[in-house]
Amino acid sequence: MTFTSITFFAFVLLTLILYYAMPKKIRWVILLLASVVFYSLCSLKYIAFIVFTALSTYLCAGWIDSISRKTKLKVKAKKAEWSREEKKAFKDKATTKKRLIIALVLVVNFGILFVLKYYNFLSGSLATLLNSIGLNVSFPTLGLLLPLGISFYTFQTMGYIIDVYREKTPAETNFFKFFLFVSFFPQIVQGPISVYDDLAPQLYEGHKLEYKNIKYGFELIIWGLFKKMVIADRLVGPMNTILHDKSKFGGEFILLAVLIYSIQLYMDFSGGIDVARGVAQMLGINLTENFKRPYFSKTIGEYWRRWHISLGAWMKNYVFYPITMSKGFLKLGQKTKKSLGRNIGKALPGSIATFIVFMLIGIWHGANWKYVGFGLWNGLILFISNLFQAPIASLSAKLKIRTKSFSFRIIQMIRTFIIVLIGYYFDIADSFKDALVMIKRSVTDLHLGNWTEPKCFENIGFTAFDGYILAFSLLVVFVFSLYQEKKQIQVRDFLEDQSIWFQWAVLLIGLMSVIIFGVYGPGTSASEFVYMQF
Amino acid sequence: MNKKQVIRIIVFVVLASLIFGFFTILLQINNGRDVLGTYGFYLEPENSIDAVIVGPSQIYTSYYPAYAYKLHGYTSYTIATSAMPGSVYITATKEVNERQKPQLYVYDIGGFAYKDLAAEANVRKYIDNIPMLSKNRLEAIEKLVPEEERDSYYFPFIKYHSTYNQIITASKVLKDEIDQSRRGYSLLKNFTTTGSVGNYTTKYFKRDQNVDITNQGLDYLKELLDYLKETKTQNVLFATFPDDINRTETKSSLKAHEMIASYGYDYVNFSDYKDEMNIDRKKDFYNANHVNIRGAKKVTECVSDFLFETYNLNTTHSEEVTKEWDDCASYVDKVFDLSEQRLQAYEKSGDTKEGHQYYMESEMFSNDGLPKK
Repeated sequence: MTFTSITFFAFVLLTLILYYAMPKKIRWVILLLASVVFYSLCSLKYIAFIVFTALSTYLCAGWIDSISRKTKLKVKAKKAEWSREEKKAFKDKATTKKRLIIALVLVVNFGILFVLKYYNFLSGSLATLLNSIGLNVSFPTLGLLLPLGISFYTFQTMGYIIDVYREKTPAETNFFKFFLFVSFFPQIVQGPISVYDDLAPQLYEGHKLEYKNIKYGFELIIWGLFKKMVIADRLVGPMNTILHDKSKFGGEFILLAVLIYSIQLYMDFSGGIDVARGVAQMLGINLTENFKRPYFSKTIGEYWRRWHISLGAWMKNYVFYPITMSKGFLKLGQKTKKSLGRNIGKALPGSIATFIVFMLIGIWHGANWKYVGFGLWNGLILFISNLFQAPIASLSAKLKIRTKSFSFRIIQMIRTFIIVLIGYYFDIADSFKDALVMIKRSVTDLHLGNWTEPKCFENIGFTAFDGYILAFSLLVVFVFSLYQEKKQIQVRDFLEDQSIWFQWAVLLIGLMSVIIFGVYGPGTSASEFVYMQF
Repeated sequence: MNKKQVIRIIVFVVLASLIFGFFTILLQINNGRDVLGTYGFYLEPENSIDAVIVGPSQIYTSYYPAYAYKLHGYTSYTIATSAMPGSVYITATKEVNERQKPQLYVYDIGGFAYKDLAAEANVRKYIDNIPMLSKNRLEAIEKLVPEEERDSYYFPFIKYHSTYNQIITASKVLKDEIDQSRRGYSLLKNFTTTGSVGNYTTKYFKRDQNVDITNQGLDYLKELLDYLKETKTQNVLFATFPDDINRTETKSSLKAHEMIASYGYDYVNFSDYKDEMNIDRKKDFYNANHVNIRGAKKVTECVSDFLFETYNLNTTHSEEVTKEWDDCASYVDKVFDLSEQRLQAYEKSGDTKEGHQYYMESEMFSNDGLPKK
């Protein structure tokens, strides 16, 4: 049941009717039932995995929370009796116990993700390595598919238990409520990865049926479907035609495939997130934004703050900060400041942590060396740009470069986009080596004049009609994005201020565009949402 | 949510549904000929058709119902779409029986000889053009379409939405459909002809063919025969309509003939009567499989003689039905003349290409019902 199927929208409609028909107090139960039904319909075979993750996290979070509470109570009770050292010793003991519990949960749950996602890749790589040194070794392979949304729910639940450990949030006492947080159906497929404190209270509160929520949610769904079905899915065929037989095409087509991928991926992923957010909003729930027009970014750092925001935020909170705030890194910072000077020395530990984060993001994307290359590329660029940020800023000032000027910002955007594109080569290549060959061919075998040949696009299965539809659709997305970027408000708010007829005209045109120009149905190669696989 | 907002939502949903409905109709027009021809059947007054002829394109190109009426006074309609497979003959028969009580049912046996009797494109040409919620249509879908592919049959928009690039052609057909509906009946009764002469070097020409009917074909034939027996249908004729092919019967086709006979029904190969029909293979065919307008005239004369005399068809009709059919018959000569003119122009031009110049109602008649020049 994908987000673009009739079954899904029938399911959403039924959920909405039941949700608002029930008394407010038990509306969360409808959401839970809907989520369980949705998961069962999509991935019944693997439901045990999500139940295990939810159950183990729920129990251990409760245990950690109880230790925290008991420790506080005991320390309070013994305030007068115990010395400072005794209190510290007692607290340390409790912290050690909590650490052991959280370590167990993290190892087990990330272990499941690791085994399901990376076992075959690692065992295969190890076997290749051992074979290359003459040891004839083979490892059994796992024939398991990934449970739906495993990365997303694992990250979300692990974030929750870390917050409980940090005493930022109390543990949820009702397992069923907690399971709803883990499995909430609009976001289970491809995120966004939510924080417990933001999402859970909204899930458990029985929301009032509000016209604005229904309308805004509907608008967001139409917008998401437009991006996914009219644009992204239209690009899948031509892109795959090139990528499935790269040797048949020149470097300019390889470059074209990467350019197509940059549009396809963004439209696919952000479109899917918009549908998820739209469905949630109809239920009165606001899911976090996951994209903020990333291709307008002026630096690669900014790009990553605008792209898959919830993953970036997760990495920042649960990986980057713990690394940079660790004793080792603090010591390293002091040492590098002394030896490498204030600017570089100060930036080095953070840059190393950023590099580690991006290696993890690369690996998170998939079990293949090409994703390691993807992480390496992005990590390296960020490492260098962080490290030399201050010297470059001072050089720009000395050279009197007007960094705020329009032309400079455009150059920055193009530069950032090129860096992002290079990263995408690793995404779409068959392997790490293939990515390097593709990059090389895009430069050394480039005949851009071929793009002007009339049959150029026909050869990759792209008709003139597709071209018109795509050009117009991209123009619409660009204009809307530019408006949002300039005004920093939602297009939906702008629409709300217009006459009802204008609003309806826009909505009906959007709806009919999706229905008529969307790529779906028999004989089409509409793809699954790209990020479902992660 | 207040009352005003609820009303707004309802009005929006109604508006969206109307626009969606319009586009559903428009974009579903996949093949104008099949759409108009099939739709025309549902315009016929109830219990007004004396004979139905069911089959693929050989039927609608060679048998002209209004001409048969002019010759003998019986009414008939061809339930035929291009490459109509025998698997949907039973659906067509049930659809006929919902509205009509024909005295005679004729089936082109060629529909059972296709290799794939559930081929999506061919099945759809018929079942997607009959009423969407007809129980016979739903039954056909369940029988012929794998479960995972049924969505696009229940919601044909899933299939046809991508035909937006043919929207201008579809609009013309829709206009014809509206004109037909306003007139109240089809003038040609699904007859479609062509004003060209085939060039026998084309890929379509395979003069020597074995008539093979697969086991699947025999099963569908048996299913139809059982249904006809169950409904106590008396006059049933299975036939092969004339084409320019030398057919060799095989074990399977002979088995089909035996099966038909065992149910007490008839089989006739009209191709065997081409000499009696005076068919000239160089002038009367559009291609190896289909006669042109000249051939259609000869085939209709022969076949209608045979049907009328063999089955002793009663030609009593109500005033309303007589008026309708007289009107249709009044166009017969015009249709033949116009098509002959076009055919002669085609011959003079020296064009040897096999153009698909099928003439439908919209191409034959202008809005006021007069033949187009």
